Amino acid sequence: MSEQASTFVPVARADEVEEGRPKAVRIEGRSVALFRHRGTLYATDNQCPHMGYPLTRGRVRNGVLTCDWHGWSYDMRGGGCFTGGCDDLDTYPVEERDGQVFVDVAGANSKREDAHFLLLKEGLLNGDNWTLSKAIAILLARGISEDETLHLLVEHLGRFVATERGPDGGRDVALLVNGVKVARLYEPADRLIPLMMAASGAAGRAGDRPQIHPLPPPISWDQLARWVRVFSADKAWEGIEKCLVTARHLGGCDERIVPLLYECAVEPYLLGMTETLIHLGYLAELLEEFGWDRSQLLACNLAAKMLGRNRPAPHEARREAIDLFAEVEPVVAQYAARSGDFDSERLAAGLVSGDLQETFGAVTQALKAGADIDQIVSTMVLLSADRMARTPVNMSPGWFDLNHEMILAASVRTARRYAGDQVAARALYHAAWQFFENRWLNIAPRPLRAHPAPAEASAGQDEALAEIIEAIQTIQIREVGRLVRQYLQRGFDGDCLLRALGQAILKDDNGWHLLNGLRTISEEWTRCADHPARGQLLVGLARWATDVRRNTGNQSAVQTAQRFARGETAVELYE
Amino acid sequence: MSAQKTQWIKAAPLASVPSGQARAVRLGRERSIALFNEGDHIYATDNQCPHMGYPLVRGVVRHGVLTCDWHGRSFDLAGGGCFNRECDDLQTFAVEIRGADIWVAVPAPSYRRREEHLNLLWEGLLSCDRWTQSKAIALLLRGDVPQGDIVELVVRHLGRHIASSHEAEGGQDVALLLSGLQVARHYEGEDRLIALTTAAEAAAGQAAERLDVVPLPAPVDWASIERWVRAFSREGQAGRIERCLFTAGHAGYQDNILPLLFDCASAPHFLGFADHLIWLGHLAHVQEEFGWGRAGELIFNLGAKLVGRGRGEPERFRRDAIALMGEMEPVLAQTQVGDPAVPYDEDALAEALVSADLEAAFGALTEPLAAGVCIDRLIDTCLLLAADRMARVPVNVEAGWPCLTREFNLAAALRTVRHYGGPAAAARGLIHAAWQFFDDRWLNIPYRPLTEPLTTSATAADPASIVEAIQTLNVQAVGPCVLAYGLAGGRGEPLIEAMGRAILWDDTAHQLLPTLGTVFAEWERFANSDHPARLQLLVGLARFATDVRTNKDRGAAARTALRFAQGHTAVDIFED
Repeated sequence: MSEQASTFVPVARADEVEEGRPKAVRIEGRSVALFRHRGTLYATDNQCPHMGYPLTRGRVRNGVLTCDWHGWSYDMRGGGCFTGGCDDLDTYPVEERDGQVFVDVAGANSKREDAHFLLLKEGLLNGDNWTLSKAIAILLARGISEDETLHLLVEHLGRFVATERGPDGGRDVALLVNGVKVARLYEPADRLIPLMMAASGAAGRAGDRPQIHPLPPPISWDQLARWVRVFSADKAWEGIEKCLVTARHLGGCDERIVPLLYECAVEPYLLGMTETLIHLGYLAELLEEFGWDRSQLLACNLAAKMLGRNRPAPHEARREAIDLFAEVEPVVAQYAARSGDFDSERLAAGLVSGDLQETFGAVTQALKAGADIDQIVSTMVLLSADRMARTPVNMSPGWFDLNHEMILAASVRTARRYAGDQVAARALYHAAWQFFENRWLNIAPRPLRAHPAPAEASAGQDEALAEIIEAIQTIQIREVGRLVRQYLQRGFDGDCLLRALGQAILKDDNGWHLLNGLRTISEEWTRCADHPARGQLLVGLARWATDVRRNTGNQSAVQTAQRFARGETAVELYE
Repeated sequence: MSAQKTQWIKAAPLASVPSGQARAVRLGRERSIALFNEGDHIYATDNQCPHMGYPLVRGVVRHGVLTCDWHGRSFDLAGGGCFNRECDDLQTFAVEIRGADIWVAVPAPSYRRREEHLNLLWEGLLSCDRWTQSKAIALLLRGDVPQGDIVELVVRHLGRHIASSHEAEGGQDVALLLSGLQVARHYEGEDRLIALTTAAEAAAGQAAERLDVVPLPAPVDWASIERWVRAFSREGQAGRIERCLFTAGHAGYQDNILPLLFDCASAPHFLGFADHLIWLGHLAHVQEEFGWGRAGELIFNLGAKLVGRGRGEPERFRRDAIALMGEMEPVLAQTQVGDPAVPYDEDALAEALVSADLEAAFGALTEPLAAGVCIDRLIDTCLLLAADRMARVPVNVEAGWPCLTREFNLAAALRTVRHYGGPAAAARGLIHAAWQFFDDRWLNIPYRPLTEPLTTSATAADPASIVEAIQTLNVQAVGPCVLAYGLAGGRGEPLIEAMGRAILWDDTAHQLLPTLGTVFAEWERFANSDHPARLQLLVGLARFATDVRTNKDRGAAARTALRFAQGHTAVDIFED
C-alpha cells in the first residue's frame, strides 16, 4: 500500500495555490483543481460532474465547493455531492513538500462504480433529458453492456405505466421499443439519440402499487382465456390484469398469452382504436426480447388497460363498419394462404375508394383469393408510402394519420408472427378501416406499380445525397420529393440514403414524432425490396421529415453529453 | 387442524335452488351463505360482498363470474378470487349433493387474511379511500392483528408519501398520526377504531419511488455534518440537509441528529415557524416509538424539509424580533435546566407575554432564565397561559383557534425540545412561544393573573351533560359548566375521555386531535399540581370543541366498517 506514495507527482509551486485563488493543472490529460481553504490544500477533479464547468471558477465556503454554473455543491474533502443524487466528485490526496504541491493521481477515490446506473435511474425518475443523455453517453462511452441498461428501462417503464398511465402507455412502449430498434440500425457512435428517446419513453414517476395476487384455485387456462375475452368486451381492465397475472402464475401458458391478447385486439368492437394493435405489437416484441419475468408488470398491466379501455359509443360509420366486419367472419375463419392470383391494384383502389363497402370488400376479395397476407400488407404499406410521397402540403397534409395508416398496416406482419393467419386476417380490416378513416386526405388514387425501373448507377451519388439532406435542412418541401425520386431513378444506393435521412431526422427536434415511422420505413424498405413502388417509402419519409422540421436541434443536449462522456468539457476554455 | 373443524351442513333442498337462480341460507347465527345453481352445478359462497357487505344473491352471474349489484365488484364463483382492486377475495365453500339436498362444508371461523388486509389498508392509503382504510383496520383488529403491525405499515407509507409527494407541511400529517395513536391508547373498541382511522387517514396519499439517498463518501466527520446542516438550514436547502442527515445516521451519529434539528429549528430566523418545533417534536416521538430502522427515511426527509425550508424575507416585526433574539443569544446559550427552588413571578411573565410589547415579552423570559429559574416552570406558565386564553377567548367574533392551539401545542412541544435539544434549545423555543403570543395580539384577550383562583356562578354538571352541551353547540354555557365541574372536585380523566369521544366522532376530529392529545398528556402532568389555572385545560378544550363543531358525523365509515367486521351487513335486509 505504502508504495502508492510514489505515485505522488509535483504539479505546482505551493505559492501558486493561494487562499481564494484556486489553480487548475493538467495531470495525465485530466484537469485537476487545486484549492487552499483555511490553510489546507485540496485537489479535486476540475470538471463539475453535473455539466463539466471548471470548478476552479466555483466558490468555497465551510469546506463546501459550489460550482458557479448551476450551483451544484460538493464536500471538498470526500467529494460527496449535496445537490444531485449521484454526481459525487473525484478527489485526490494532496501534499505540500518543499514548496511544491504533490498530488497522488493513483489515489483518486473514484466514486461509486455504478454511479452511471444511479444517474440513469435518476433520469428515469425525473424525466430530465440532460440526465438521461449524460447517463447513456457515459454507459456507451464505457462500453457497458446495452442489455443491462435496457433491462433497467423495461423494469422502470413497467412501474411507471402501471401507476401513472392509461392505455396510452402504449406510446411509451413504442418509444422504448422503436428507439432500441432504430439504435441498432446505426453504429454505436450514432446510437445515443435513439437510445435517449427509448429512455425518455421509459421515464416517469414510479408510484407505489401493491402487487396483484393471482386468483385462488381452482383455475384453468381455458377459464382465464374466456374471462379475458369477456372483460375485454366489458371494458373491465382490472379483471383482465388479474387474469393475466394468474395465467403467469399458473405457469406453462406464457406462449398462449400474446395470441390471446391479439384475438381480443382484433375484435370488431376495437375497430377504430387502431393504436391498440400497433402497441400490442410493440409489447409482443418487447416480451420476446426481454422475457416475461422482466416484463410481467408492464405487459399484464398495459395489455389489460389497452384491451379493456374505455371506448366511446361508435358513431354511424364505425357502427356500420363493426356490422360489416362481423359479416365477413366466415371468410376470415376459412382463410388459408394459397398462391392464388391476387390483384394488388384492385386492392389498393378499393382501400382508398372512400367507400366502406368497397374498402372492406377489397380485403375480402384478396382473402378469398387466398392471397398471402404478407403480400397484402406490402400493398397496404406501399399504398401508404405512395400517399405520403404525394400528399399536398399546402394545407394539412395529415402526416399523423398517414403515419398511423402505414404503421398499422405494417403491424399486421407482427400480428401474424405472434398470433397466426386468422388474427392477421382480421387485423387487415382494422388497417383497411384506417384507410377509409383517412379519406378526408383527398389524395388522388393512382396505380401502384406505375414506376419506371431505375437506371444503372453512375457517378455523383455523394453530391445527390448531400443535396437531399440540404433540402431537408433548409426545408425545401417542394424540392425534396423530386430530389429523392431523381436519386433513386439514377440507380443510387437507397440504403445509404435511408441512413442519412434517419440521422438528419433524429438530430432534429421533431425526431420524436418520426421515430416510429422511421423504424417501420427502415424495415419495409428491406421487405419490399422487389416492389417497383418501394422508392415511395423514401420519398414519403423525406417529404414528411422536411415538412414538419423545426431545425431547433435535438442534438445539443446529446452532443454535449457525448463530449462530456469523452471528458471534453468547458474546462479548456479557462485553462 | 382446521380440517377437523370443518363441518358438513345440510344447507337446503336441491329443488329450492332452480337452475340459473340463487338463494341465501343462514347457517348458524352469524353466517349467511349464498347458493347458486349455474350450469347445473351448485356453488356456495359467503353471501356478504367483501367490498361492502351487500348480499351477493342479488348479484349477477355470467361466465362463472359473480358480480355484486351494489358497486360491481366481481368474483370467480368457484374459487372466490376478486377481479377488482381494493377488495379482497370471497370465501367459497365445498358443496356436495346428497340425495335431494345440498350440503355445504363450513370450516370453523378462523382468521387467515392478515396479509390480504394489510395490503388492503395500503391500497386504501394510496387511493385515500376512507372506507377501504376503515374496513381494513376494523378487519385486522377483529382478526387480532397487533395494533403495532398496523401502525408500522401506516408509518412506512407516510414516510414514502412525504418523501416522494409532500413538502414541509407533511409535518401536519405526522402530528395527526402521532396524536391519533396517542389518543387511541385511552380508548377501546369502536372509539379506538375511530381514533386509529383518523390517524391513518392523515397518512393517506400517493407515494412513489425516489432515488435512493446514499451516504456522502468518506472521510466525513460529525463536525463537518453539523456545520453543513447549520449552513444549509440558514440557506433553506432541504435536499442537501437530507443527505447530511442520512450520512450521519449511517456513520453512527444517530443520537446527534434530533438535538441538531431542534437547534436549527429554534434559531432566530425561524421565528414565526412555530409549527416546525411542534412537528419536530412529533418526529422525535416517531423515532422513539419506531426506531431509526423503520422511521429513518421519514425523519431524515421531513427533518431536512423542516429545517431547510425557505422562509422568505421577514416583514418588519419579525425582522425586529429576529434581531432582538440574536442579542439575547448569550443568555439563551448559557441556559441550564434551572433550579425549582428559585422563585419567580409567574403573573408578571404572563402579563409581559400578552403585553403586545416585543421587548417586554422577550425580556420577561431572559430575566428568569438568567436568574436560573427552572425552565420547566417557564414552560408550564406558557402552557397554562395558552390554555387560559383558550378558556376565555370571545367566540362572538373570529375566535382564532388555529393561533390559540398553536400557542398551546407549541408550549407542550417545548418539553420534547428540552428533552432532545437540551435547555438552550428549549430556552430558544420559549422565545418562539413568546413571539407566538405577540403575533396573536390581535385576538385581544385581556390579561388575567394566572395564579388567581377561578370562580363561576354556574352549577356543577356531570360529564354527560357537558358532552350534551358540546353536542348542542352550546358554546356560551359549556365553559362555565366545565369550570364548575372542576371546581366541585370532578375528576379530569373521565371528562377528557367523554369529551374526546364526542370529538372523535365528529367531522372536525382532525382539527382537534393534536390539541386533544396535548390535553390528555398535560392533564396527567398536572395531576398532582394545585395550580388554579390547570382547570383551564379542560375548559379550553370544551370551548374549542363546541365552537368548531359541525355535528356532521364523520364516523359513518368507521361504524359501518366495525359492523362489517363483526358480520353485520345489509344481508339481513334481504333474508328470506
